[in-house]
Amino acid sequence: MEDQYQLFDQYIAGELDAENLQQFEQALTQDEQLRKRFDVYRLGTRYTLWQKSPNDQDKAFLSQLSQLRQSTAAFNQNNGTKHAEDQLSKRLRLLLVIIAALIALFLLVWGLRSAFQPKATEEIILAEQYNPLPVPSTLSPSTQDSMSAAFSAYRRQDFGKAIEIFTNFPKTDERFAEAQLFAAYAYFEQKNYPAALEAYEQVILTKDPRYKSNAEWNQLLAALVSSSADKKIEQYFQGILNQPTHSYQEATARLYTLWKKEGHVNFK
Amino acid sequence: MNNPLLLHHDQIYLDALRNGDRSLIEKIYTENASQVAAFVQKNGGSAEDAADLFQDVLCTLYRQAQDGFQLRCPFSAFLFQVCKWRWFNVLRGAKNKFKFNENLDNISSDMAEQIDDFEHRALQEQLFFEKFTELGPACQEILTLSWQENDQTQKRFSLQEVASKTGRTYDYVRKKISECRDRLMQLVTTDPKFKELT
Repeated sequence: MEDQYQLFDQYIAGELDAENLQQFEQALTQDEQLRKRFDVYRLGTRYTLWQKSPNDQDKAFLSQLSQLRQSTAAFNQNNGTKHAEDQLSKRLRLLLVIIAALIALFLLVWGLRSAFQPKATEEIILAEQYNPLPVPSTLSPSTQDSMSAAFSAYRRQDFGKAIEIFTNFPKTDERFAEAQLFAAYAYFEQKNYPAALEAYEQVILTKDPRYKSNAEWNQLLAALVSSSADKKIEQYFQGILNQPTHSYQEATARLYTLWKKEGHVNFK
Repeated sequence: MNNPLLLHHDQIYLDALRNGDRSLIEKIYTENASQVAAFVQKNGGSAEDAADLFQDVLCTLYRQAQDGFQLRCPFSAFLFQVCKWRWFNVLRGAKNKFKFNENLDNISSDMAEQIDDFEHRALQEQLFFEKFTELGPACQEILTLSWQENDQTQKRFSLQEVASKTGRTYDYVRKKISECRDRLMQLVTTDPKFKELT
């Protein structure tokens, strides 16, 4: 057996003389077990050298493979993927920052706008909605003296004087409705809302088409401003809303929506 | 196996590996790496696993080409099937529960026979090396030196050279080599795997 393995080494090393070489090769073809042992020995010694002591050719080959491995994209996909993920992550972070900045900007603009936007205060709503008729430029000759004096006082914002004269017109006077209407305006300017409401009511009762709509609208406004007329507000709203052709229908509807939504219109 | 009539023209790739032909070895990477990488990554491995596997198979091809292994089938198909087979064994060996969704079906019986032969030889060399590492350090050193070639003479070191390199006497080396070699082959041939592989 010892000689056999020595023969293996001598054969691999090319050290057998012609006679022994022929005998050994013949034995390999005839003895299957010997052939198997020799195959393992030949392969094994080569592999052991590869592992323990690679020669220059082996080293050069391994170096080549190492370089090709580094330069082969398919084997560096993990790094590529990581790089791509890093890039994606960076872009995602940038996108989030931009979105956050836009939201902050929107909130800032919205906040500033809200801060500086005029509130729907009593004064503004009234300024927008209050719509007294203009003082007539000419007066009829028969009533020129008293009405002229009343309107003159009204223009001077001497509402007390104006009321005194306007309320002296009897119901039978053809200008009673007009006088009551301007008396109501004057009461309103004085913030005497109950008196204004009553004066507007007098105008409405006359059913004079020239003043009725305006009186109903301004009566509603006076009721919204007045703290003593809460119970009648719904009635005043419906009084106008039930008249499809009312000249203040649309404005009343908008005000009614606001009033319903908020529970009140903050004129106070 | 060495019938030249059965030799496939892709034998040039084995020759290229054996001779270190850089351009053809580059072509082997260019034409095959992505397929192997895709397969491994599709079956639970990483690109690095694929690179290790690919390089390991090429090293086996390099050594076996030096030992006279010849190709009877297309190189790319052979290389890919060996990679698949080895990756399959990696998964099976690790008791990986990952479902293996490709196998070695649909290849010619001739290629299957070549792959079987190739892999058996690879396992034989591993069995031998495994037993070699069970030897003592002195045996490993002396045997390794006795199998090495002298760079200048391109011949194996003589017993005298081994003795000189190890600082031992010629007689000690001659006796030790014989003992170590016998011990090694005893370990190899008595291992149950030896019968399976031969």
